[in-house]
Amino acid sequence: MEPKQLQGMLSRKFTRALAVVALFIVLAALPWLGTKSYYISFFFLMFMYVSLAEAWNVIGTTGYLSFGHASFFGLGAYTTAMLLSKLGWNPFLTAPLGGLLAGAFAFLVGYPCLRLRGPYFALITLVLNMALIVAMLNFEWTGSTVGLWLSTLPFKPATSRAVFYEVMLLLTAAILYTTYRMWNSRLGRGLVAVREDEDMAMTLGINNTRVKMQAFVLSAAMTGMVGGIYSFYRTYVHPDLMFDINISILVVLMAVFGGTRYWQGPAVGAVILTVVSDQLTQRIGSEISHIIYGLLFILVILFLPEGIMGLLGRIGRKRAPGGSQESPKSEVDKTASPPSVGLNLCAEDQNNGHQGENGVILEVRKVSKRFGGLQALSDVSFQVRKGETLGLIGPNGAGKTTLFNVITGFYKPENGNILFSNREITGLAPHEIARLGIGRTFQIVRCFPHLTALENVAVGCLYAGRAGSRSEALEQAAEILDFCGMLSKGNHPAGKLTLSEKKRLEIARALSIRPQILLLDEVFAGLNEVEVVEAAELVRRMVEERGITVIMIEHVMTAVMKCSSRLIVLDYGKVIAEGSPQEIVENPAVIEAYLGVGNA
Amino acid sequence: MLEVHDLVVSYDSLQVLWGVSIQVPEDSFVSIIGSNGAGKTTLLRTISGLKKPESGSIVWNGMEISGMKPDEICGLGIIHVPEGRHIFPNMTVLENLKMGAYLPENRRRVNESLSYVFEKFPILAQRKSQYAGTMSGGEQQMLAIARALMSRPKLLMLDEPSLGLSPKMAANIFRQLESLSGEEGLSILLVSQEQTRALSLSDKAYVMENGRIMREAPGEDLLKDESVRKHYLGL
Amino acid sequence: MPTSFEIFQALASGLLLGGVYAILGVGFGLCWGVMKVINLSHSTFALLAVYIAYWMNVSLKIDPLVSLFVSTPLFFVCGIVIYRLLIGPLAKRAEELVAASMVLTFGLAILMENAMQWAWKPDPRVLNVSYTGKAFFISRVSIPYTAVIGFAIALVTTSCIYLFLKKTYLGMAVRAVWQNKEGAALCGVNIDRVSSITFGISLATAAAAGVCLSLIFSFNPSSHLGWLIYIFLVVIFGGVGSIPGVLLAGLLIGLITNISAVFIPNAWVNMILFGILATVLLLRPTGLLGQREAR
Repeated sequence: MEPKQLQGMLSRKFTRALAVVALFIVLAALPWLGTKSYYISFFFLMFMYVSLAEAWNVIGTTGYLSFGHASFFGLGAYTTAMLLSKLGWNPFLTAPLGGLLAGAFAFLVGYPCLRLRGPYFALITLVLNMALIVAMLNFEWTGSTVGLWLSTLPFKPATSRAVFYEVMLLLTAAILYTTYRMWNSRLGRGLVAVREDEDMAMTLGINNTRVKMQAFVLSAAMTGMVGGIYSFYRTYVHPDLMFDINISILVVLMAVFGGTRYWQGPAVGAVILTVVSDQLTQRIGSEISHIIYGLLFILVILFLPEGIMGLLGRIGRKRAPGGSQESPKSEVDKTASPPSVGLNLCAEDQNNGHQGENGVILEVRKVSKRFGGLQALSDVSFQVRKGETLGLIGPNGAGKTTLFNVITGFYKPENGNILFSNREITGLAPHEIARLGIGRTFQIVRCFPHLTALENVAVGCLYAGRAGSRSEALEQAAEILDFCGMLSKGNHPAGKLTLSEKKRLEIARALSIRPQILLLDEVFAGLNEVEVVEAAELVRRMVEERGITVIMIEHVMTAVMKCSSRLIVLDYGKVIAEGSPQEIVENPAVIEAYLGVGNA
Repeated sequence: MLEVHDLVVSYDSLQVLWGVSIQVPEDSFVSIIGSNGAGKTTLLRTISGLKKPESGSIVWNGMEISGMKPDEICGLGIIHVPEGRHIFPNMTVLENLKMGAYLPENRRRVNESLSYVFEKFPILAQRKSQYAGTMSGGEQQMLAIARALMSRPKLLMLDEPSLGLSPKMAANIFRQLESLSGEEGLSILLVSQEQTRALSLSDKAYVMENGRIMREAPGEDLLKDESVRKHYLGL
Repeated sequence: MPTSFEIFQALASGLLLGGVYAILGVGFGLCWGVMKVINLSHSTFALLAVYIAYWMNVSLKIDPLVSLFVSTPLFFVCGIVIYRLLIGPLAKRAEELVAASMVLTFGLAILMENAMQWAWKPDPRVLNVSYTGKAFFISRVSIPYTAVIGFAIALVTTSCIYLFLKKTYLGMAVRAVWQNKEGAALCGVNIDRVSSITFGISLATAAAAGVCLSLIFSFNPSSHLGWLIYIFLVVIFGGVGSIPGVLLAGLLIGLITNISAVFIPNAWVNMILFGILATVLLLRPTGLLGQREAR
C-alpha cells in the first residue's frame, strides 16, 4: 500500500474517532446545560433501547430471533433490585452482577433453545419469557404480584435524573464499543457464517453450538446489565413491568427496522422508533398513536424489508457499482495481488510417521447407517492411501453422500469405525473433523451468498485454517482463490456467481481449512464437457502440487476415469466392486448396476 | 410454433440475456448447448413465465405470451421440467401426477392421462402410493417428466434432465426423450450438459454463450463442427 | 386429594376447550406452512370475531352462533384482501419472510388491538346468551352447552380443512405450493390465488374459533396475546403441517391445563405446559407428528 494512502486512511480513522468522542462529550454535557428534564428522561430511554437493540442483535444477526429478551432484562433488574432491597447494595455497582446472572441463565437455557432453528427458536424464547413472568408472579421472595419498591438516589430529582442519564450513556457507549469490536472479530465472522449457512459453517471448523452460545450469553449479559440500571431508575419492580413482553418485541422491531445485518442497524432503528413514538404520543392521543404506530411497522417492513441500513446500503451500492456489501473495499484491494510467498495449503504433516502401513490415511471399517426402514450403508469398509484420488461411484441412492456425511460427522453410524491417520474419529462433531483436516464440498452447490467470494474462503482460514487475524485470513484466502483461478472474482458476492464459478469457490472454501483429505461430492455435475476438463485439471493440481488426498463422488465418467487412481462402487449401501478404473468399467456387476451397457 | 425475438432479461442489475432469438418448429427436437452461466436456464424460465423479460417478445402460435404468469403459460401447453425436478416430496406419486393435471381441461382427462403415463413409466405405477421424496433421484426425474406429460404438453422444455443421475439412469432418460419426440404434436426444447447426446437427438440446436445465441444449425452438423467439438464437447 | 368426580369434570371441560385451541392452531399452522408467514395477528382476528359476535348480540340481539355466518365469510374475504395488499407484496420483497412476516403481522395486531380498544373501550366483557351457564349431566359430571357447541364447531372445522386438503384439487394445490412453490407454478397453479385463498381460510377459521371463545371466556381488547401463546403451544406441540397432530395437541393441552388445575394452584398450570413444551421440543424439534424438514 502507498504511504499516502495509509496516511489518508489513518487520518480518516482519526477524524472518525474524534467525531465519536466529540458526540459523546456533547451528550454527556446535556444535563448540565439546562436541558429540559423531559428530554433527559427521553434520552435515557432512547439510550436504553439503543443498548437493548444492539445487545439483541449479537444473537439476532445470526437469524436466531429471540422474542424473549425481556427475560434477561427482567433477570438483571430483579437481581439488582433484590441486592438493593435485601442487602442495600447500590445497583450502579451490582448491575454487572445482574448481567452475570442473566448470562448464566442464558447459558442454561441456551443449549436446548439454540438447537431449534428459525421460527421455533423465536417462539420458544417468547414462551420462556412468559414462563418467567408466571414464575415471578408466584415467587413470594421477590415480592410476587405486589412487586418491590426500591430506595431512590439521595439527590434532588433533577440531579438524580442527570446521574441516571450519565450512567446509561456510559453503559450504552460501552455496549456499542463491545458490539463493534465483536462484529469485526473472529466471533463476528463465525456468526455471519452461521447466519448464512449452518451446515457449511461446521465444515469450516466452526463450532456452531459454541459460537451461538457465546453470542447468546454475551447478548443476555448486556441486556441484564441494562435491566439492572432500569430497575433502579424506575424504583419499582414488578414481573409485568420488568419482564414485559412488549419490551421483547419492541427490541426485535427496532433491530429489524434498522437492519439486522448491519452493526449500526439496531441502534439506528432504536433512535428513529423512540423519536417517532414519542412524537406520536405527544401530538395525538395514545390509542390513535398506537394505531399509527402499528401502521408504521406494516409500511416499513413492506417497503424496507432489509431495514433502514439495507436501504442506505442499496443506495451506496448503486453509487459504487461492483462494490461489495460487507467487506470494506480496501481490504480486498490490499489482497488483490497474490502474496509472493506460496502458503502451504495442506495441513502441516504433524501426523507423519503415525500413519498406518502403506500410508493409509483414512480407514472406514464396517460402517452401517440406517434411516428408519432404509439401510443406507451396510458394512462398508475400505482404505484410502495418502496422495491417491479415490473415485466413489454407484447408482443414485446407493449411499455415497450418506457415506460422506458419516465420515465428516454429520451422521453418526450405528456400527463401525472411521480412522483418520490411525486415530478414531467416529462420533466427533463435524467442526472437530474439519479441524483435523478433512474438508468437503456439498452435492447441491452451497456458499455464503451475501459474502464476497474472498470472504467465503476467509471464514475457513480464520477457523479451521487457524489464521491469526482477519487480514492474515484474507491474504490466505486470496492465495487459495488464485490457486483455483477465482481471484478476479474475489470481490463478487458469492450468490451472484455462475454455477461453474460457485463450484470452484466451493473447492476453494474446502481448501481453506488446509485439508489433508478432501471429499468432493459431484463437483463436476452440471458442468459442460470443457468445464469438466478444467475442473479435473484443478483436482489434479490439488493432488500433485499440494499433496491432498481426494475422495470424489462422481457420475461424469470421463472425469472419473481421468482423475481417479482407484474406484469404489457402492450399490444399495454395499461395496460391490473396488479396483482400477479399467477393471471397474469391465466389471459385469458394475455394468449391470450402474453403467448400463455401452455407456462408459 | 414458438418464436422468441430479441429477448433481454436481467437479474437485479446483471443482464443475463442480450437479445436472444430462437424458434421451435412444430414436431421438432431442439436443444440448446453452451457453458455454464450462458443463460440457458434463464431462457427457459423466461419462456415459462417464472422470470419477467425486460424487452423482446415470445410468440406462441401467433400469440404474444411474454409477461404472462406461469400458470397461464402452462395452460397453453408449454410445460417446463425445471432443473432440480421440483417434485412434491411429501405427496404420493399419484398425487404428484394428479397435480400435473391440475388445470381444468386436463383434470377432465386425468384417468386417460394416468394410464398413458403409467404405460410409459411402469415403475411409477408400482410406486403409486409411495411418497415422492423417498424415491431415488432417477425415479424422481421420471416422475417430473411424467408429471409434465400429465399436463398434455405441446412443447416440453427440459432443463438438465440427467443432472446427478448415474450413467445408466441418464441413458434411460434420454431413451425416454427420444421416444417422446417421435410422438405426434409434441415438440421438445432441451437444455443439457450432456451435449453430445443432446446434439445427436436434435433436429436443430443453438449454441449459447454469455447470454447470446452464437450459432444455429442441425444437431448433426454441430456434432461434426470442429470448433464446437473443441469448445463444448471436449474432443 | 381431588375426587374422581373432579377429575372427570376436568377431563370433560379440558377436552372441549382443547378443540377450540385446535382450530386456532390449524389456521395458524396452515398459514405458516404454505406461505412461511407467522401470523402474529391470528388471535387478534379471533378476538375481532369475538367482538363482532358480542356487538351483534348486544345491539342486534343476534345469537353468536348466527354471527358465525357473517364473520366467517367476512374474514375469508378480509384474508384475501390482506394477502393481496400486504402479505403477497411482502413475500415478493422480503428475503427472510419469517422475520418480516412476524414484524408485519405484529404491526397489524397492534393496530387492531388499539382500534378495538377505541371502539369498545378496554373494559372486560362477557357474552351472555340464553344457554350460558346451562349444562347437562352425564352421571354427575356437568357438561356446559357452550363447551359442547364449541367442540362441535372445532371438530367440524378441522375435519373440513383436512378433507379439503386431502380430497380436492385446490387443497392438493395448497399442499403443493407448501412443498414446492415453483413446481406448483409449473403445474399451472396460480400461486397468488392459492396463497390468498389459504390466507382467507386461515382467517375464516380464526373467526370460527373466536365465536367458540366468546362463549367460553370473558374478553378485553388485549386478550389476544394470551391466546397467541396457546396457539404457539398447540402448533409447536403438534408440528407445523400436521392437522391430526395439531388436533391432538389442542386436545392434549386442553386436558393438561384442566386436569393439572385440579391438583396444583392455577397459576402454576402454565408452568407445566411450558415444561412439557420444552421437553417435546428437545426430543422432537419438529413437534409430535411434524414432518422432518428435508435436508
